[in-house]
Amino acid sequence: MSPSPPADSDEELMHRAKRGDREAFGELVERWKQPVQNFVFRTLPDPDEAQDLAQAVFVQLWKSVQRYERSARFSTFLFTIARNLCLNEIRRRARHPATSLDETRTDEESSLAQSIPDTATLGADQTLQRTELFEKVESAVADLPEKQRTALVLCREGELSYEEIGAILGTSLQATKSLIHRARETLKARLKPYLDTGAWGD
Amino acid sequence: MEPPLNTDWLEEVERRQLSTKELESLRSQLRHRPAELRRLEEEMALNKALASQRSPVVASNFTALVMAEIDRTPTPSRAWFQLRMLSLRWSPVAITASVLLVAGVGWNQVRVQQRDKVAHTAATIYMSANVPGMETLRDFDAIQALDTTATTPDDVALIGALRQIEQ
Repeated sequence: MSPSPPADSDEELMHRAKRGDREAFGELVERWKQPVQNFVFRTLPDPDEAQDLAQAVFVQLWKSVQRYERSARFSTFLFTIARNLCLNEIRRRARHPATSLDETRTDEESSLAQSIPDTATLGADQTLQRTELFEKVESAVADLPEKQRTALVLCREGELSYEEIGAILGTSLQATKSLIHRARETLKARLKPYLDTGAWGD
Repeated sequence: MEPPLNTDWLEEVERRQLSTKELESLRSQLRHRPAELRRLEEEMALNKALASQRSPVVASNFTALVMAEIDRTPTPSRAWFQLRMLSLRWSPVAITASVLLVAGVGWNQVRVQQRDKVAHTAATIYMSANVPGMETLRDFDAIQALDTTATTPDDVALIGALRQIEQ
């Protein structure tokens, strides 16, 4: 059996998308949908809204595709868009606390969502069950100041380097390290009773 | 006495999940430094806690929905983008042109004011040209004195007396 050809890099796919290649763009969405949704979810801990916003991130990515320079790393470009949309959503919520993204959907968007069935959510109840420990961690992460939380999440979820995180947040390398360190110190202090139990297993 | 806490390893532990082998090696290195070992275990416990966070389930139709949304979204064309980039590229030139324009208008204002001053001075000179010449002015004091003399009451009285004598 012959080995499969090496996958295109994100940057190469983005370059193709820039020339209007929708298939290449679809491949990028497939690759990055989980990290982006995780990132959004850590910022706005609501699974449904996280999915809507994650989709909006990719739509915005498509709209911004011509702005992408090949010299830049794709993940930095993508998470910069994701962070900006999250911040916009946080600001929107602050202005209109009772309105959710679902409520702002148009009829056309709703019918579109219904016309493409989601089969992955079937049997996913178990995955979505929250334990007390998980909720404590999520709550502690959600309560971090925005920059600390974003730096920590990008480091853990996006597996971005400190330099790339700094580029997204507009902070120096040292300031980025400091943000992550302070976030971890805060989490350790808040979660100390739970961390000491060793309940997390190996 | 225990040596001071050496946390060179800390950044690595904060940055990424260590492999089992790396962790064992680090624990072994720190076995005589209880404070550092305790710190390492805290960091590892936090890493585990963070790693245990649930990941939201991505819908199977996620990509299809995104692509459908993209189909409905008018894509900014390359030409539009190039035009925009061109305008951005030219913006420093536009800024410079604006600054030069403002400076030019200011300079013109100053010139107009200077011309006004020159015109005013010229008008003053023209007016002074109607003043009698120096020859006339040389006898000004004498003429003024005569004028004054002619109007003095003593002279009028003298002329009156002479007229009476003639009569």
